[in-house]
Amino acid sequence: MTAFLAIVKLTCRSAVRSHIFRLLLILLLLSIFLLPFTLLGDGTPKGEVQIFLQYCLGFAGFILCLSSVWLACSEISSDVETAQIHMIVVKPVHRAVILLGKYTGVVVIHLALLLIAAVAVYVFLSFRLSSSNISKEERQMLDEQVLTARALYRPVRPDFNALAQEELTRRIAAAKERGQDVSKYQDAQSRLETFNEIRKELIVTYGLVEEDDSIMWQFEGLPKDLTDDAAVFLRYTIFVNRYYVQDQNSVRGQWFFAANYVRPDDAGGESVVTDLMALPEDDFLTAAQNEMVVPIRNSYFIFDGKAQVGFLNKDTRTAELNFEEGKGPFLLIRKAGFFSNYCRAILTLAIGILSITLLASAVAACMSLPIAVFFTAAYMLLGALANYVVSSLPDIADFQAEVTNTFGYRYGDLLLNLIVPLQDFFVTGHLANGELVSFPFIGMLFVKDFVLRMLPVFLLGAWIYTRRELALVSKRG
Amino acid sequence: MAQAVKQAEQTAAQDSRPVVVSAVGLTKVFRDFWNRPKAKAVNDIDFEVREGEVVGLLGPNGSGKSTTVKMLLGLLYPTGGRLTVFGKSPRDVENKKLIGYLPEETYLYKYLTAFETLDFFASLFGLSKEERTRRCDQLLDMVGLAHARNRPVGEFSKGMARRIGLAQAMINDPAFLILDEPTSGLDPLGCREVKDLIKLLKRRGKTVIVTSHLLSDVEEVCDRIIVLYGGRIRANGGMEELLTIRSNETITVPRLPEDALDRIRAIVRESAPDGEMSVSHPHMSLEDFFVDIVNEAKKESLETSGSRSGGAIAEYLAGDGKPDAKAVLDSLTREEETPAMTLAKKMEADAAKAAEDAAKRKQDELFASLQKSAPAPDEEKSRREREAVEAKMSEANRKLKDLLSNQGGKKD
Repeated sequence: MTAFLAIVKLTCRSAVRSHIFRLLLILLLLSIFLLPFTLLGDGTPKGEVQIFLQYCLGFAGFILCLSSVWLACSEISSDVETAQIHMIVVKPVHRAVILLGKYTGVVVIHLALLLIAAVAVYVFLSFRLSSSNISKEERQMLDEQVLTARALYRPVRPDFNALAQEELTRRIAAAKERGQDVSKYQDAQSRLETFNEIRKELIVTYGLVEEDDSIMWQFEGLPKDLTDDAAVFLRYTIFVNRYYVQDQNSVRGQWFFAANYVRPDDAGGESVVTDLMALPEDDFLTAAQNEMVVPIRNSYFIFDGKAQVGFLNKDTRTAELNFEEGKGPFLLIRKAGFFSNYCRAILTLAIGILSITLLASAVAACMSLPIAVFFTAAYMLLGALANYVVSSLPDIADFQAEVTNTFGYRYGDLLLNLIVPLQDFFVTGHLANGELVSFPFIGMLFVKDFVLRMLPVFLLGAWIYTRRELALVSKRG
Repeated sequence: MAQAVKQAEQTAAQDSRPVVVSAVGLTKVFRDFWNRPKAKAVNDIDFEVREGEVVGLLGPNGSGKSTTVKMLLGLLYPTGGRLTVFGKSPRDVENKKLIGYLPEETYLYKYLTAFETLDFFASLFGLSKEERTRRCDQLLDMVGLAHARNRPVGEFSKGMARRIGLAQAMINDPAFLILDEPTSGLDPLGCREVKDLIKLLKRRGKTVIVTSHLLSDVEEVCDRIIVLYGGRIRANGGMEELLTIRSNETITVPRLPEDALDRIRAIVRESAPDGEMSVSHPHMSLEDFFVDIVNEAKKESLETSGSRSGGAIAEYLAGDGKPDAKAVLDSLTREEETPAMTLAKKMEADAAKAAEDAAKRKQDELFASLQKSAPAPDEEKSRREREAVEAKMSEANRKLKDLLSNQGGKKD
């Protein structure tokens, strides 16, 4: 243990003397104290706080990840290249302990910095909030929508396969009725192609609401014991047409909610009656995230953990409105306070630093400094890009694809199982939106990414490190 | 020479002390990226180092000594053969508690102070804080760096870095010490201290392997040397055995009175001087021995993966027969001789010539006195004279030996 602690201490001391580390430290300080003044929110206190939380903390986390990669690589690879490791491995310390000591040293110093950054951001935020003039309404909005921790519930996704099959069957029946040739549906390949086209169309048109048409979303898994005084928020973003970057405007529509009542029926028992409760027509700003409190009592709105929300398009100026799948509507219910959520976000970042340092250490244990840095940076980049693939995978996953698509999917799936998308650990967006960073989520990240993915890589690196002929590499100077 | 080496190896084999290092058929082949053999640094060598021995590992650059040392330390792995240190694999972690290592270049962490450096290495042995502090202070004092206790080692001169390196090698009071060029970069005083230290370690029964290019250092401290060339052992044996020239005899006597010198001058005729006398074999220096070994290996065209000794000077450096720059400069800057200078020079030259002639006369007389029995041009005559001289020499030697043995008897 004495040897292990000595190596940890030495690594920490070595780290603070690295020029690149010092540069990154300056960037870290800038990200905390100067970045907030360079970013413009939407002009509201809520927007300002959201920007501060998302970017300052996110940037600080990113800098710390970069720094940990650099230090882990340099501490481990450079020691081998400069032959300083010869002085240590000839002592009675197992090489795995040396590697673990160096890893721990890098992690300790970065976790300490993360803690300092977290405290600085929190204190700075508190100071800004207390020193600025915020109206009571704005303060309430801030407290309810940002400085809180709410669980986010997504609507149930339709079974597009079943819907596509249903539509296909309907089309064949309609064609038969009209006396059209249905032979093209007999061939398996043609049938598959038609099925895929229908499915694709359904996915693309899901969330589109034409004028005077409505759409209904079903929510499940909501808390059954929610009291009436607990606020349930509806978050939504409306877009005009499919391509939301153009033609955005203010549109008119109407939200409605399903209210469930239990009433005695004629047979002397009880039955559930569902009514629709509509809000007055209103104008909504498109392409902007909005939130409102669900205006009906929770005991009516949430029935057996389920709820329904709908929207009626009353806009006459635009062809159709669009609800992008990833942008709502969502229901949010408060679960914890802001400080608790803030600590959870920091904990998630810490797991990110632990994981990326584990990877960098493993790579540096087997490779030279430039290759190790390049490899780890490439991994991080690939992980970032993989995020987009992740979002598209469920679409590919459950439909009957051709061989090439299946191969592509399997390959992508394998790649994504090997790579840890670094941005998974950056939950500052959740924090800024007042969304709960739940412990199951943190636990899942820890087990899935740290234990199941990074730890085996580290063990492999340690195994190679213990068997390497360390004197084969030497680049003095 | 070969006989001496064989004899030395046999002597080593008969040693009953525990074996610290044992190498049998030890081979190390360096390979390239595609696993193709690139260089055979160590080629099937066998040697043993026994407890309490101070062994010098010698060889020119690229002879395989560093590779052998690195294999002993588990920094490189043998390609073939068997290597054990204290009966275990050199990679055995527990074994390393018994080993101290001073590398050729002391790779220190520049930002640590002298004390922190030693404290760090002591920590790797799991020593308690009190013990670490005690040993660090004592070692700093021993290597003469107590005054630089709190100075970062990055500021140290090469000699100071060597000293701190030596101190860290002994932080665990090792039973087996590997010193790679221990005196490199040290001033004469430092060299003396290191050699005294090695002698002290030897007295304490420690086993030491020393590699050095300073052959006089090795000669002074080592019991035994192993000379490597081209990855093979060219000589392995005790210093006494290897450096003794057995084909000649040396008679060593103390300062003699004039009458005894007269008798010896009579080409060791019938009498011998009184007093102590010894008969032994003459020794060559280790340096001569080393150069002989290397030259012999070269003659055999033995391959070496390292650098070889320099060849002819490059033509562009040696010049091409044209007047060199210095000669041109001399001719340009030479003063014109005046008649007065010429006369003075002539007188100087005459005096020098007279002195030279006198010296030559003296030398001739000396040669004449020494070559009274020198062989004549006639072959038969010279043979007879040579035999007569040899007979006289044998007789003289016999008498000297008798005298020596009688004196020994008297002493007893």
